[in-house]
Parts: sequence; structure tokens; C-alpha cells
Amino acid sequence: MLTQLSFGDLNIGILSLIFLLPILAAFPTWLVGRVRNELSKWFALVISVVVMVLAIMALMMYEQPPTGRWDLIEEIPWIEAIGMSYSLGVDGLSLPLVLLSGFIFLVAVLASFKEIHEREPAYYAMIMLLETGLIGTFLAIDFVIFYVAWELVLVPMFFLIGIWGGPKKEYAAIYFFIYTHVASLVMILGIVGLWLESSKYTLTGIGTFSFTELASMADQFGTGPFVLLIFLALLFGFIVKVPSVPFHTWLPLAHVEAPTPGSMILAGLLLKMGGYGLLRMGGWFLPDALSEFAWLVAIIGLVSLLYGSWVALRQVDMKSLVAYSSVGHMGIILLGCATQSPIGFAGAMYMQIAHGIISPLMFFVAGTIGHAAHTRDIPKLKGIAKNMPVTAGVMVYGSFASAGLPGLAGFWSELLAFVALFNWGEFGRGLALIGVLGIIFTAAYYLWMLQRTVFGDVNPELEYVHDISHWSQYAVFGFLCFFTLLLGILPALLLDLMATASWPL
Amino acid sequence: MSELVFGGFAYLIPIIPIIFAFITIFFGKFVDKKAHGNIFALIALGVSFILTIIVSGEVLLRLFAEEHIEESLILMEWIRIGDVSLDFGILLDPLSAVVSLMVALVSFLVAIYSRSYMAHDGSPRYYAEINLFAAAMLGLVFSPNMIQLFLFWEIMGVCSYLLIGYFYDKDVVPEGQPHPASAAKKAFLTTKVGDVFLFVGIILLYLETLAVNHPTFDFLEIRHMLEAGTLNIDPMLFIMIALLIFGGAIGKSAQFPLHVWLPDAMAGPTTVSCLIHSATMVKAGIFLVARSYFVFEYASKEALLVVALIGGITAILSGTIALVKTDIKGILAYSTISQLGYMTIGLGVGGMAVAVFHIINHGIFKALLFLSAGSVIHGSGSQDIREMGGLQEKMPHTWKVMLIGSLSLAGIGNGFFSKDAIILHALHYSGLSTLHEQLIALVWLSSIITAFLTAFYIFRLWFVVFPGTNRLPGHHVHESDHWMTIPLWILAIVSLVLAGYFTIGLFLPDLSFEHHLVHWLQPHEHALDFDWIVGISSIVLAVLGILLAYLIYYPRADAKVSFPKGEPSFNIEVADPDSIAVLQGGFRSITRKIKSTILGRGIQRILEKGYYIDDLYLALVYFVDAKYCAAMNWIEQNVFDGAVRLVGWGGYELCGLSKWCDDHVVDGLVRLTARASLALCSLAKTTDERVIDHGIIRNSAKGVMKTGGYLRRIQTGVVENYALYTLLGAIFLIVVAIIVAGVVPL
Repeated sequence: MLTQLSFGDLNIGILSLIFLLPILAAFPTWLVGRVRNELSKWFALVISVVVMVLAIMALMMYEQPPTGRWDLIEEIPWIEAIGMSYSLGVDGLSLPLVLLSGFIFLVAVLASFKEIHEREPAYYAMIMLLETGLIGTFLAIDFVIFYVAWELVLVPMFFLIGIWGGPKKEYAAIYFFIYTHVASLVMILGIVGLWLESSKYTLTGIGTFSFTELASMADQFGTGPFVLLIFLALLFGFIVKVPSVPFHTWLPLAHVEAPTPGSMILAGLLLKMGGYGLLRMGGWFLPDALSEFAWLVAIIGLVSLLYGSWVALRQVDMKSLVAYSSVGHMGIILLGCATQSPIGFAGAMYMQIAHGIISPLMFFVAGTIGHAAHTRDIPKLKGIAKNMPVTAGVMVYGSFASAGLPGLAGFWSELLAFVALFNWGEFGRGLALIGVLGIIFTAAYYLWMLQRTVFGDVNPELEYVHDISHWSQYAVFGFLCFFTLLLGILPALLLDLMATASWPL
Repeated sequence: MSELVFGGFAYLIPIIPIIFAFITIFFGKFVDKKAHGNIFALIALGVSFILTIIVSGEVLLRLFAEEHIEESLILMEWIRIGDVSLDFGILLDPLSAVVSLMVALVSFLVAIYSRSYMAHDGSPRYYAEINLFAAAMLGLVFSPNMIQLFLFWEIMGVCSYLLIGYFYDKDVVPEGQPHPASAAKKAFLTTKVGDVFLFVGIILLYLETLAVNHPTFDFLEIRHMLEAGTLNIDPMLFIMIALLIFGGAIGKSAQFPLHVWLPDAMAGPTTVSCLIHSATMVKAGIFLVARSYFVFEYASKEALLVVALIGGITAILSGTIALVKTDIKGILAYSTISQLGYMTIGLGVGGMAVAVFHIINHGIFKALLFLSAGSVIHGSGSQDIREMGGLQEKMPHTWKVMLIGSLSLAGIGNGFFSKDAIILHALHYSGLSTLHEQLIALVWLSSIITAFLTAFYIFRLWFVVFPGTNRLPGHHVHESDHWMTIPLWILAIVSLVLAGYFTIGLFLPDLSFEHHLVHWLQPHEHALDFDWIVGISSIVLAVLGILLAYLIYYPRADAKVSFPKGEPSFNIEVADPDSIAVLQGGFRSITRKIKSTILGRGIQRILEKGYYIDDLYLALVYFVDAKYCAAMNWIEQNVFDGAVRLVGWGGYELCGLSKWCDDHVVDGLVRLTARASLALCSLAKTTDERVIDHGIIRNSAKGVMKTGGYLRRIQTGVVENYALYTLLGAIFLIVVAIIVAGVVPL
């Protein structure tokens, strides 16, 4: 099976190509934009298509690795003195997220076509930079690379919010950056702690950052006080990114202020980094520590689920409402993860992808309406179905998808997560019985929003509003709606791939 | 048992309308423009109907031939992860065959009817949603497992939502009626509450099968496991599972206390009310309980008692509310709830087959009634029965078919057979305890009172609408065209034919459809023989109800009917009263007197308000939204975000403090040190200048000079003086020596 792409004598692994292509393309993107402004967006589009194609090629090359291993591994020793290497690899947990990243970036670039008209060269260069950071987070199988990629994401996102954002962009950008950066610092303490702890079990007596080696030690880590401390440090780093109540306040602010494609990436991918980290840590490295703290993770998840939907009910800004719905949905990931069962993990992973498609759809709808009507405030909008039938239709579709309608992607994750939760002893059953209320509230805030925005008589002040017209907007809607439906009716497409994740559980 | 010949076609029955739903939404604008793409609905639902006849017809024919048909076809493996495994397929059995025929028939007729009825207000969206709905309902009927059923169940909910809100841009809403957008939301959310119960019930039942290492969502498999006794479920949990599944039915089939959405759902087009909110979707709840009846049978009888009680409450509750409604669709809506209550009673008293029997009969006659009402609304331009009257002359077809439907609903016609069977089952049901039996007796009482009320309110409707003179002058009342009257007549004829066929069954039990149905659906039960006493008394009740309605509401040819404002009842003035008119006058004055008492007014008010259940929910929703969630939002803004801002502010202030510290303390210290050093330096300088330079160095030089000066005086050079000094020195030394020797003893 082909695992390397050869250019003459030069062998480049496909994962490295996916990882490095965007960052290498960032400067040229800016450069061509200096020549002619609109070239940069086409260049970015071409690069994101290429990355998407490469990701699909990686999917075709991928074969189920043995337990605790990754496939398509590329490993180059780097700093052997501390057990660190440049290593990339994919498994059933990360490959769907790599595909999702390629897809969402492609869609986000398309979504930028009609949305961004200011300093385009720099904007698309930032998007390219961001893509490397995100994909790198999912591809890395070495904690140093993982951390570098994780932090790399913050910088372009900071500029995307701070330069192309809304009225309070500077505040939001700084809020976002400092908050998540502080969490990353706590996380790196955990990573260093894990490195120290791992030194006990390596042959050389030097710690390791390698995922494969750490995964093989998972049983030995146990639940000593130091390990629990490491777990809590990593957990903090991840749940700030997820984000979970009470560390979620950066999200609504960042979403409201970010440009629409930025919101799409933020909701579709950035949050998934936290979920990915959590699942990876809980399933692969510190399963015993997770069982020790499963109650905590589950309660945080449940609180996020309910609290997010309660607060969403009262939001005025549509983007803010969708942001709080994200907080709620990401709570299901924590619940699924806490059960530590294959079904719960599958539910959590399915939610990662389903939410990764549906929430960008909702943000694009909100952005499109905001663009056309010059407001996203729910009370100011009314009867937009009249003048924006396509957008309104997609909004109804997206709302039901997000509310977990069977036949659309979100349902399967809810089903699997709740099956796992009900099966998780008395405690889990109790949490699940409370948690299902979240389903009602989710339906309630979406339907209430639809009633006030889509339906009813047209607000006379919004008579001038018109529907989407550009092909790129149709493409964004088309792609996102299609995959929402596809993963709704053929869940096996994704579940079979996910099942190849080698559970060390 | 050989395989079904046409079974494979069953997949196409839901798939064709789904495909056509997409075609309609994209091409409805271009094809069949005048009717907004109605042609696609006609084709899809027509083909679907024919296929249903073929597939279900074969099943029924072979059932009549005493074959046992229960075939589960698997189309594809849906998901397989961990312990979860699920297939997508089709289940062909007596239940799906019987119900699918009714659903496919009504859907097709509604599609025909809509062509004319929705000629002005239609759109491709409407037909796409109708197609999707029909597909979902047919898919639900054929679902072999709970997840597939739940999938179609929810899709129907969305179609219902979209179609109730079809007139979303209506700016003028009749007083007392909800806005369509609001009604749609209410319908979806209320049923969603039930759906969540069902969702939990499905998962819990599944986990019980998982516990015995045979995880499955499949109806047949779970039933076989229960029959074989391999499934041991804790009795309390089993009752809970049964009731959770019933919770789904309460929501979907609009049972008390979640019935509030159905009357509001009448905000949608009448065709939608007919198809979704009376004939098919609202039956899905009853169908669900029938489909999973084995759960109720194997769980303790307490679960069924709850079902029966809910049914009894619902039947009489909505039957009484229907008495005071003046909106033609409102009356039919409450009537639907009441009839669904009957079906629930049937389920609760062990008569699953007769409940299914009533699904079919009610589906036919209520579709007939709703479509007739649509024709009336179409022709008269009003929904308020007070504004109608005298339509008999203008609508020669509608009044006849509506009479057939009304009679059937009242219990004289095809509706009689299933309703009577339910009452009979309630009468013969043997409970667990005396209390149980007494409660069932109450349910039975509710069912016969409701039978009387039903006959009364439906003929109140009929007598006010059709006979007499038109009370809305100026409006041109007209009969509907063939697209509408033909489906009406088809339904009427089906209703009559069924009535005839069932009547034959009374005398020739071998041909009795009810007996067959019981035999197919509940093979372990024995069908109850028709009881002439019960049957005749229920007909008598119906006749009494009609008679009472006649005495109060029937306006004779020359009567003038008026509805005084603020008055609950109406006046009929007759120029030349004969004996019947006098009798009617007497009844009316008694009614008016009863109604004008405080008690009468109070009851009227309570009924008009629907027992204030809606207001209770509104208060609850208001509390949750405006108080509870608002409080949460306040916490979000002030506590959580506040905490972060506080940390940020604290950090910022800390930096300020550091800066101050740096400016004043650290810098001050440095400067102080510097100054001190400077001072020290200048001190050193002074010391250097004054002490060392001036003092020591110069003074020592001076000292030497001075010493020299003094010494010079002594150094005289005179020998005598030197001798004197030597002597003095010697004396001094001796003195010192003496002193030292004296003091220090040697």
C-alpha cells in the first residue's frame, strides 16, 4: 500500500504533506494577493482543495493499525536526549477529524468569498496558517509537536478575530488569546508531568513524548497522586478548549466578534481540539485516572449540556445562541467520554464530527442573515422566510439537525451517548435522566428562534433584504447540508472508520 | 409458509414519496405550475397507494387464507458499533398491512383533494412536505425496529411542524386562535416531551436485551425473547419501560395531559389537519403501543391500567370541550382527541386489536369529516359555525358525505363496530384487584358518556351548518369542484362499504373482520362475541344524542337563527310554530336557563378554556423562560463572565500595583541607595579632604615641625643643661623603681 509520495529521490509522507502544505502556502498566498487582491482567495481555495484531496488519499491508504498503534506513521528523531521526535500518524480517532478539518477549511474559504473584502491577502494567509495548526494537532503523535500545533492555532485566530472581527474585536481577541493561552500553559505542565512520570517505565530512564510509547504504558500509570495531578492539569487544558461550564465564557464572545468563516472554524474545529485531547488522554494515556475522575467529567458535561441550553434560550444575538448551543452539545462529548465504554466513545466521536458540520452550517446561516439584514438580533428579525427562502429553509434544516433530529447527523451521537450513559450504573442512569431534559430545551430554543426570525410577517424595516445569490454561498450550504444528511442516514460510514481506533481500554 | 411474492416492493412504498419530495421542492416551480407541483404528489402517493394495495393486499389475502405472515426483510445493516447493532428494513405483518392501507388511501385522497383546495395558497413546499410526511408515516408503519420507527416518528413531527406553520406569514389571526408559527412550535415541543420519554424507553428496553447478551432493537426479536422467557426484567423497571413508551404515545396521539397541541395544530391548512392531525400521524402513538404491545402484556397489568385511565380521561375531557367550540375545525380536533382516547382505552383494556380496528375506522370517517369541513370552509369562506347555516342547498354533495361521516362518528356506521367493541372490552375486562376493576368501570363509564356526547356535538355541528338559512349574507357560497368532491365520495363509499361488510360479520362470525383482526394481532386472545345488549344500548345512546341535538339546534325551514353577542346559546324564531317547534322551544329555553345559572356559566367558561390546562402550561413555560432561564442568563453575564473579568481586572490592577511598586518602592530604593551612595561618597570626599588630607597628612607634617620647634629649645648645646637633664632622668627612674618595687613585692 502506498504510504509515501515520491518526487524523484525525495520521499515525503502524505501526512507531512497535509500538515506542512498550508503553512508553506501561507506566504505565497499573501504574496499573490499583493500582486492582485483576488488571487489570494483563489490560491487559498486551490490549496484547501488539495489538502482535502490529500486527506481523502490518506483515508484510502489507511489500514486499521494494531491495538495502541497508529497508521501511516512518519517518525524522524529530533531531540533524542528528551525522547522527542517529529512524528505524525493517524487512527480511527484522528483521521475523521483530519478529514473534517480539510472539509471545514475548504468550506470556510468558500464562505469568505462574499464575507471578507478587507486586507484579503493577509486574511487568507492567516487561514492557511490556522489550517496547519489545526491539522497538526490531530496528526501529531508526539506531545511536543502536538503542543506546538495547539499553540500555533491561537496566533492566526487572534488576528482573525482582532482584525476582521465585529465591533468589540480587540477585546474579544485578547480575551480569547489570554484565556486559552493560560489553559495551554496549565496543559504543558501536565505534558511535562507525563514526561517525568513516563521516565519510570522506559528502558533508558529518559521520559518520552511519543504517543505510541505513552499508550503502551497506559496500564502502568495507575492513579498515584502525581498522575491524578497530571490528569487534572491536562483536563483543565482540554475543557477550556471544549469549552465546558464554567470555563466557557471566551466562546460566545469570540463567536460573536469573529468573522463568519472564523466562527465556522472556531465551532467546527477549534472546539474539537479539546474533545480530541480529552478522548485521546482518557482512552489512550490515562484511562485509570479518567475512571477515578469520571464523575467529575460527567458532571461537567451534564452541567454544560443543561446550562448551555438554558442560557441559549435567552440570547438575543443569533451567533451567541448557536455558541451556547455548542457549549451544550460539547457537553455530550464529555458525557460519552466519562462512561469509558466503546459506545460512549463512539457517541462522543460522532458528536465531534456531527457538531463539526452542523454548527458551521448554523454560523454561516447566522452570518448570511447578519450580512443581508445588517443585524443578527433575534427580536429585530422577523419573517425572513419571505425574502430569504433558501437561507430560511437551511436555517430550519440546521436547527432540526442541531436539535438531534433522527435522519440527520446529530441524532446518532445523542443515541449512542445516552445508551452508554444509561448503561453506566446507577450514577450514569441518574445523570442520563436529567440529561434528556437537554433535548427538550435544545428543541425549545431553536424553535423559538425560528418562530421569531424565520416566520411571521416581514419586518417592514427588512423589506430590502435579499437571499443568497453567489455560487460560493450555495456551495457552502450544499456541502454542509449534504454531509449532515449523509451522516444521518448512513452512520456506518463514520462509525466503521471510528471503530478502527485501537482502544487500549 | 412460503415467502411473500410482492414483499420486496414494500421498500418502494416509503422511498418513492421521499424521492418525489425532493423532486417537488426543486422542480415544482416549473412543472404543473398552476397547481404548484401537485402532479408530483399525485404520482408519488398514487404509486405508493397501488404498491401498498399489492403488498399489503397479498399479506391480507394470505392471512384470510389462514397463513401466518410475519416477515422481516433487511435492506441494509445500519450501524454496528460495540454492542449496538441495527438494521434498516421492512416488517410485513397483519398490523403493518392493515394500517398501511388506510394511510396510503387517505394520503392519496388528500393529494387529490389538495389540487383544488390549495389552488390559491399552495406551493411546491406544501406538496414536498406532504410527500415527505406520507413517506414517513408509511415508513413508520413498516418499521421492524424501534430506532427506525423513532426516525420516521420524528420526521413526521417535523413535517407536522412545517405544515402547521404553513401560513406563517398570516398577519390577521382570528381571535382566540394561535398564530400558525406559534402553534407549530407548540405542537413540536409538546410532542417532543413525549418523544423524550419514548427515547428513554427505547434505550432502557434495549439495555435489558443487552444485559442478557442479545442486544436488539427489533420488535419481533424482543417479543420472541419475552415469549421464550429469556428476558428477565425487574418488574418495576418493566412497568417503567412500558409507561415510557406510552409517554411517546401520549405526546404523539395527543392524550391527556399532552393533548394541548392538537387543537392549536388546526392553524394549518385543513388538508393537513385531515391527513396529519386526524387520520394518520396522531394514530402513530396508538400504533406504537400496538406494535410494542408485548411489552405491556408482559409487564404487570398496572401499566395497562394507566393506559386505560389516560384514555378514559382524554375521551371525556375533550368530548366535553367539543360541546362548546364554535370553530368547525376546533370541534373536529377535540373530537379527534376524544376518539384517540377511545383507542387508548381499547389498548388499556387488553383490546389491542379493537384499538387498531378503531384506527382504521376513525381514519376513514374522520378524514371524511375533515375534508367535508374543508369543503365547507372553502365554500363558505368561514370557519365559525355560527356564520354558516343553510349550506344544504348550496352544497349538495358536501352535506351528504358529511352526514355519512357524522353518523359514523356518532356510532351509526363503520365507526360503530370498533367503538362498540372497545366499550365491550372495557366492560368485560378483569382487573388485578377490586380497585383496579372499579377504575376500569370508571373508564367504561367515561366511554359510554363520551359516546353520547359524541353523537350530540357532531350533530350540533351538522344541524347548525347545513339546514336552515345562511347567516352570512353577501358571501357567495358554492359547492367545491370535482377534485374535492370525488375524494369525499370515495371516503363516504368506503365508509358505507365497510359498514356493510362489518354488519355481515355480525351475523356470520366467520366473516367478521374484528374476529380476524383479533386472531391475527392477538393470537392468544379470544375475540369477544358481539353483545346485542351492549350494541343496541350504544346505538340508543347515539340516537339519543342526535335527538337532543335535533331538539336544541335543528332549525326548521322557516326558522331565523341568531347568535346574540355575549350569549352562549342562540335564538331561533319560528313564524308559525307547530308541535315539534314548540317542543324545540321548550328544550331551548331549558338549555338557556341551565346555561344562564352561575354553575352553567362557570362550566361553560371552564370548557371554553379547556379546563385551564393550556393556561397552566403557559404559566410554567413563562416561569421557565422568563424567570429561570433569565436568571441563568444573569448568572452567565454576571457571575461567570464577571469572574473572568474580575480575574482580568485583578490581574490588571495587580500590574498597576506592580508598576506603582516599581515606580515608588523599588525605584525609590534604588534611588535611595544611589543617594546614600552619593552621600557616602561626598562624606568620603569630605573625609578625604578634611580628615585625611588636611588633618592627618598636613597635621602630621605640622606636628613634626612643631615638635622640632619645641625640641629645638631643649637642644641648647650647653653641657650643664645636659647633665641636669641626665640627673633629673636618673632621679625619675629611681623614683619609678622604688614605687614599682614597693608596689610589686619582689
